[in-house]
Amino acid sequence: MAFGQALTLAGALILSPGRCEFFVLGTREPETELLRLVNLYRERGAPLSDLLHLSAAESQAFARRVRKVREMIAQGAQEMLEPDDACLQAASLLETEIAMTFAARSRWEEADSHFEAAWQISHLIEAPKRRLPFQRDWLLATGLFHHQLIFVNVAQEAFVRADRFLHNAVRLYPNDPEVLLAAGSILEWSGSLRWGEPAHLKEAEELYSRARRLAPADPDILLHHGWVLEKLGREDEAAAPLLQVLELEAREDFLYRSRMALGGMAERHGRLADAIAHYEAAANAIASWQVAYVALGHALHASGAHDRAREVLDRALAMDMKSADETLGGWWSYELGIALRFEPLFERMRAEVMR
Amino acid sequence: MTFWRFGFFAALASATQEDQRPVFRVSTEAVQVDVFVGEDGRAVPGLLASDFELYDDRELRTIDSVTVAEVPLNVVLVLDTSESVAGETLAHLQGAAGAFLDELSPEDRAALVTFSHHLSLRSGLTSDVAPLKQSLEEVKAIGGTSWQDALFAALEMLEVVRERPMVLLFTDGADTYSWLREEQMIPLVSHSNAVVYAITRDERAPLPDLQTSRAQERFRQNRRERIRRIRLLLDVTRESGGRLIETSSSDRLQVIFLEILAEVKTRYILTYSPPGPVRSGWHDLEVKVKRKGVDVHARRGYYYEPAP
Repeated sequence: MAFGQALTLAGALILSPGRCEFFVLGTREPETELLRLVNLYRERGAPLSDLLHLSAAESQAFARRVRKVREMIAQGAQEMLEPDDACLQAASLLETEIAMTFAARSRWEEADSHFEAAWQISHLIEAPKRRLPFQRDWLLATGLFHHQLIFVNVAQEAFVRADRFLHNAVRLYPNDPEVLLAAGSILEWSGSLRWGEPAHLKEAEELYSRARRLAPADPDILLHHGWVLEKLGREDEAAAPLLQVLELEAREDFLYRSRMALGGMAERHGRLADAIAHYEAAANAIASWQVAYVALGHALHASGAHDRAREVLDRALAMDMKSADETLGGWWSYELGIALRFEPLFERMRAEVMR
Repeated sequence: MTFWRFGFFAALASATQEDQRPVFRVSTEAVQVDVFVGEDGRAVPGLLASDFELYDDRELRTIDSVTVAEVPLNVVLVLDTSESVAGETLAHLQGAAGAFLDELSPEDRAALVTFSHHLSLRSGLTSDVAPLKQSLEEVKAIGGTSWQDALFAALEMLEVVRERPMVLLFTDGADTYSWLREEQMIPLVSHSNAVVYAITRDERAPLPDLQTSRAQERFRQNRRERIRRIRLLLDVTRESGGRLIETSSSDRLQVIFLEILAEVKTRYILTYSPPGPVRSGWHDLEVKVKRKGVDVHARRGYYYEPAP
């Protein structure tokens, strides 16, 4: 069956336990080729790359086949009597995997197209009550994926494309705090990648504000909001969210970063005792991150405690490079942390669909 | 361009232990000022105390003694091992630093700090260059650049050193990962006794095709970033009495390292005793040479901190 024909035909998914089947309406001819991979995906529970050991050519061929699945499923959705959410979820995830495959090869336009398809398919899944666990994860994953696309494009100085992905993500998920956070963080530091141009701090602050209203006790959002407020020179406002992070039972890396930000503000205002206390607390939170010791050493130096400053710096300089690599360097990798969360999230989603 | 360069350190006559920070005490101390005098880029040898004029807060001081190369050197090599130096540049850098170490006098001491996004002390100050060279060979290029943090760590290491503290910094690119900000660097150098020499790669690219607005924007951004980085390095070295050297090719690193060492060995150390109580805080210093056409490179001043 030609691809063009497929576009014109309505299709249907026939519910069958554990399998996805597709018939072209009117012919009842099974499109086994088109669904082979969806079923394979569900049955094997393995990432796409493991299933197919894709070469570039295979990837393209596979992408064409999946595009066909997508089109037909989307077309046939109107006719579905008993849509199988599991099949749709698998197709959606499969699209996401294809998108990731393209993204890994820096073929961003194609990757974005498949994410768009995944998003469309996900909307075919039945009522929100039924789809919430998966849908929520998928939305988050898509948001994070957009974040990755944005980040990589900014790094490659493809700013126009990065902006498009960014605004697309915010448009798709206007009330998703994770997406707003991810988009905001790109805006916050994209300037530094634009060869010294100012970052889009105001826009980032607006997105963080929105995210904070939606998730007022999310330490990640609080930290970013405090951080960008400080960069905007609104330090009176910045302290509150940063201190709120300390009150939450947040992960130690959030505590570390909040302490570092508070310490930096205190030091700039000449409150060296406060700065030292914050830096010490940061070093206590994560003893293997070197930067806290550099900051502490500087604050001690500035306060005239040279012997202690040297002790602290000696400790920092003796630290193993390996620990820095494992954490991608501590605080400065923070912005990347969001993108790094994508993989485990995707694994969870994959596991859920396979069930 | 005229660079001011010279080094200052306060020598406390009564304190000889290196674990004590030099403290400037009236009546027991002498001030030593590390000065380079050049003419057409070459060191001017054979100057005597009577050839110099030294002003401390615009007050002419009597120079007690002038020495050249008799005082051992304490140098911290602060080397960029970020990803951008991988390959040929790293090999050249290792060769240059190794040659520099080979040329040190037996009384001189050296330490090695490397930096990427992580700072590492490869070796503390030692006159035994063999382990230093061994450490140098083990260096790998990875990660980002944090020369500002690394320079601070080196300066703090040298706080306890009274004899000719010096930093030789090589960096290949803009600082991307330091905690310390640009505006914090000059005060750190001002408060230190060390002379800072820096070497960086001249990245002046050929004029690109500027037919599109994007190319023009990119070119301007590159230039702004480069100017900002060079200016900071220039300010840091100038403040300390040292010098910034740019090179277009890493294969010149060895020549430059050795030229710097030769230059350092020709620096004069002027010693004088301040009369009466010394005011705490910043003191402007100015060194002049009673000859025409020479460049005098010296630190712009020093901080006096009274003993607690």
